[in-house]
Amino acid sequence: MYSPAAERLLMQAGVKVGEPVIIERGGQSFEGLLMPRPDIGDEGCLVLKLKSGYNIGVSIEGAKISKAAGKAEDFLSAVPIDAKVYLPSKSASASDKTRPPIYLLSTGGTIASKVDYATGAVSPQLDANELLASIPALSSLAPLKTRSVLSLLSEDLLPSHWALFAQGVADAFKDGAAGIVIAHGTDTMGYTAAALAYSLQDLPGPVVLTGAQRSPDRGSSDAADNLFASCLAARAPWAGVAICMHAGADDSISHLHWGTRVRKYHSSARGAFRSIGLPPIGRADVRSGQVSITDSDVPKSDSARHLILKNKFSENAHMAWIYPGLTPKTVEKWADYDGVLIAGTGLGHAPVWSSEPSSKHSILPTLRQLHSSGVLLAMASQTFGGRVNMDVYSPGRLLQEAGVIGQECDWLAETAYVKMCWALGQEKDSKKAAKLMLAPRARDILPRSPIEDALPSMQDRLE
Amino acid sequence: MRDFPMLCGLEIHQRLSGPKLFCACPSPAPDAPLEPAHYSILRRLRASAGEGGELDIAAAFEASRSRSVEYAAPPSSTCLVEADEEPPHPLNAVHLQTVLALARHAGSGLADEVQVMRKTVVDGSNTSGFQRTCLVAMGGSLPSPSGPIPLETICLEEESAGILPAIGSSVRFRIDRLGIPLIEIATAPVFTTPQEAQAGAEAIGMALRMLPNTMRGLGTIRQDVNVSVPGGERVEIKGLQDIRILPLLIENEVKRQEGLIEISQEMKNRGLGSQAPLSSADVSSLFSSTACPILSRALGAKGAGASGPSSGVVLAARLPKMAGLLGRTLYEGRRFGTELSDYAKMAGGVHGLIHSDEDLAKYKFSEREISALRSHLHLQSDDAFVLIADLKQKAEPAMRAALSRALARRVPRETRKADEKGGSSFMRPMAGAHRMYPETDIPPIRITREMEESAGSKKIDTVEARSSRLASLLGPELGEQMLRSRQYALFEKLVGGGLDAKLVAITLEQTMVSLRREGVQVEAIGESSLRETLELCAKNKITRAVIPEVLKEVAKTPAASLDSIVSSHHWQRLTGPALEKAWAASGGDMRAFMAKYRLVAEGADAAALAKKKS
Repeated sequence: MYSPAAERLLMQAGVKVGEPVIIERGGQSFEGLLMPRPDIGDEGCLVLKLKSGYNIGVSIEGAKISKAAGKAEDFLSAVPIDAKVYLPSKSASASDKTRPPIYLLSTGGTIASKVDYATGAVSPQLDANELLASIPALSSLAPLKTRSVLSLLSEDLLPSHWALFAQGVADAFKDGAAGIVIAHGTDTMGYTAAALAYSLQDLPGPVVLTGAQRSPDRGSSDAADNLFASCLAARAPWAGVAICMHAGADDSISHLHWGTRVRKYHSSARGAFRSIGLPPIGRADVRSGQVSITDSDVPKSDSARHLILKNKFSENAHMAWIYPGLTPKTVEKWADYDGVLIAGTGLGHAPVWSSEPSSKHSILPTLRQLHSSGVLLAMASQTFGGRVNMDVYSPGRLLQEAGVIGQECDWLAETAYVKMCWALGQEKDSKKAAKLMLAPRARDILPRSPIEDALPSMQDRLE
Repeated sequence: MRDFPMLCGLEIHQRLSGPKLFCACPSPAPDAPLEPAHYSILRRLRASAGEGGELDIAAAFEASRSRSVEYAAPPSSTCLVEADEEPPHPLNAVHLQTVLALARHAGSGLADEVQVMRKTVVDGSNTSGFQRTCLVAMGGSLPSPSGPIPLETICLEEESAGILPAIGSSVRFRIDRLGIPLIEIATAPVFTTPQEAQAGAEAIGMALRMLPNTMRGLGTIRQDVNVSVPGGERVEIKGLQDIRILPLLIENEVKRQEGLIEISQEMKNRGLGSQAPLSSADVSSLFSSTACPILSRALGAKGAGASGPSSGVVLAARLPKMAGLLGRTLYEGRRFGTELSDYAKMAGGVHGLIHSDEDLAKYKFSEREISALRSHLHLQSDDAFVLIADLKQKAEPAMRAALSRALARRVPRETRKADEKGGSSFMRPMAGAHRMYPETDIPPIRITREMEESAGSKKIDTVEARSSRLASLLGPELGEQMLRSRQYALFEKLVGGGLDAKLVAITLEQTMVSLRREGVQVEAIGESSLRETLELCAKNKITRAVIPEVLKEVAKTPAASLDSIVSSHHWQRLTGPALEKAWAASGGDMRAFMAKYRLVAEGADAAALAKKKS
């Protein structure tokens, strides 16, 4: 929005956004198309798109505004006619129309976004059909069907949205889907993947979540490759929930990360996701169109398998990061929740002052109170890798005695939080929910820690 | 004579030194070779819709060629920003100030708010798929010997990646160059002769050198030129390496456009109105046993005989009433047929095409083949034909492009690439305004009053002022040399530190140059060693004559201290009793004395002694 003063001047001149305008100011004249004002910046600066394509901000201070001759198109089109022939012709789809379809569910996020000229920012706008139309190579994997479930950035998602997505997946399989691809914002994609892994049991086929780290409005977007790789993966004969994204900076290999064992580890890079405690279960190569599921424990797909949907999630669980300076006063507030997932330090520790149990800094008494009042307390480690072990040091033992569960679990903190939401959605009673949490599910708690976790990469060791 | 033969405008791109425009990486030196230890990143770029929701035609054209691109990323001068793995950092404020200062100097009107734009480029020269650029000022002028040159725009933009030799079908770029700041100055189309344009380009280049942080060296300044003639079109020619070729390049472009206008007139005269698109035919069977190496190679390619996209074919098309036109010379070395061939090459990646105005015997066609072809295409005597032989998937788009070019009947709006001989070839259709859309990762930048005032307070020399100051310091010849020298900034720094201007200028422009010619590693001589050496001379500790010897030693042993170099070689300047003793020992013979003590005694000292004794 422009400032009221600017709006007034524009009204007097009879110029609306999207129309050609001339602004004279300080002996200079600017002719261009009046663009909408981005939310950021000086609202008293009119944004003009010049014939050259450049946008420029011109202050209304001392400016004379008048309508310009011509139409909006004059400023946007300078396309030579004979260039049309170079556009690639659409190749006919060589798909097998008789096979079961892949369903593409769009939920929002960068992958479904484009530049919003009203706000000047990138926001989710495309629906599933538009997505599909933008990537002709997808036609080789047809038939594809699309459904728009939601249009939200993933940082805005609630546990109730996970329930919605699970329902969407169950419906699609009921409607005969061979596999499902979910276009999702990357920020909390790991949470959603875990939520689907818990709420969709005995899946008949693959559920692949994917997103983009570069928006589709630019030539370098990873959206098309990720979507294509995910559709390749959704056509493969396996079952489960996984995230499929660029393995690294190259537009070539995408990794399939198991839904309960994946974390967004980089804020901006294409290879944003890492598998933790379990290597990627497979890979897709967008150049060759090959998919391989390398993890032999991943079940095969079976369209006859009967999917069980358990998509109730509590929205009253909390995740708490342990840090130096955490006070008992803060921990007291956890009483508002039905459960708290504690992302503890190291092996699963928190400031319980085991050497000086009477210290006023110790959170141990508060934790005991919370536990006895029925708040479910579970421990995961905030480290990047590794397992909780609350037997090694005395703080861990004190925590266990106070009722904190999670001993020996190598679950990821986010996964454990999602599992808590899910367990409390299934069982109101905290003891029953605790039991549900501790039962390994969808490989969230593994008995073995991969040796690679403690070693440099194979490549480094060979050198 | 025409009264208005042509109009020409210039776009000058000048690199700035210092950090890159959108990240904190250092800008590599222009002649720095690619570090052997670098990462390699593989990408595939696509065209994406611009602000108006339409694909930019130039971008769509490049993307239709669907090549994969490999980027070489040396870690010392690239980070996640160049790799397009991280959003850009805010626009570098120092570089913006430099451009604002230039704009004030040129009397241009500053933008009140600068919006960084994305200019779509899908040839792979940018990892993001676009080049970031912003319009900072409009209007104003820069002086030249023949009067002020009016400017249209002054922009600040990022340099593209540098192309590397291709390996296989993969296009390769080095991204250490990506993101170096560039000032882009576009002049109004005011030049009416090639010579004027050249003089203008030189004047603007000199004016840019007056900025405090222009980068110097090969490739740090580039000139694009746009040329239009009456009845023609505005054609942009990029990639000119040598400004001395500029006049010939413009002359040839004028000839080319005039030639194309004549050809379209001729087509009109021959009754060729607007007509339906031409079609081509697969004539492979006519050449199954051809002696023409080009055709037989194409037909023998993988999958020949099959009908898939990767089988070899010979495509031919009739160009009605166009006999003689394809062979028409536009300028020396370029015929109309070459223009068609350019389009075919770019659209389909074929090697070229063969047309009926060529000497067909040189392709080793038999008479029978040609007459079979003529009857197959129902060719009349005033018709022409074109042939393209390659894989079907390449030949088809190539033929479509060539035919559409043949029918254009006017000067197409193109971006062309300059060659070393003053000619140019088709690069892509002229980009439209569609290729620009806002860089949403960077908020608009308000040019505040403080920024404006600070820019105005930075005095930039006019070329004239600097030239006359240097002439008064150094004399006209050395002054002119220093005006154009890459070492000017260092010169100012050393002179500003109190050293004698002539001594500094001679050391930088003559001593260092001849040392380099002798094979001395002058790069190893750091700025501080140079300053210390000159200071020793200024303090009469060493002679002027020994400076080259000292610098040679510094280059050999950069780690050694200057004092130790001077003392170990006994290069201390002779003064007082030592000088007198040496003078006495040489028997007062000036020549013998100087022959022996050339490096450690100043001639003037000896002369003074000689005078005293006599």
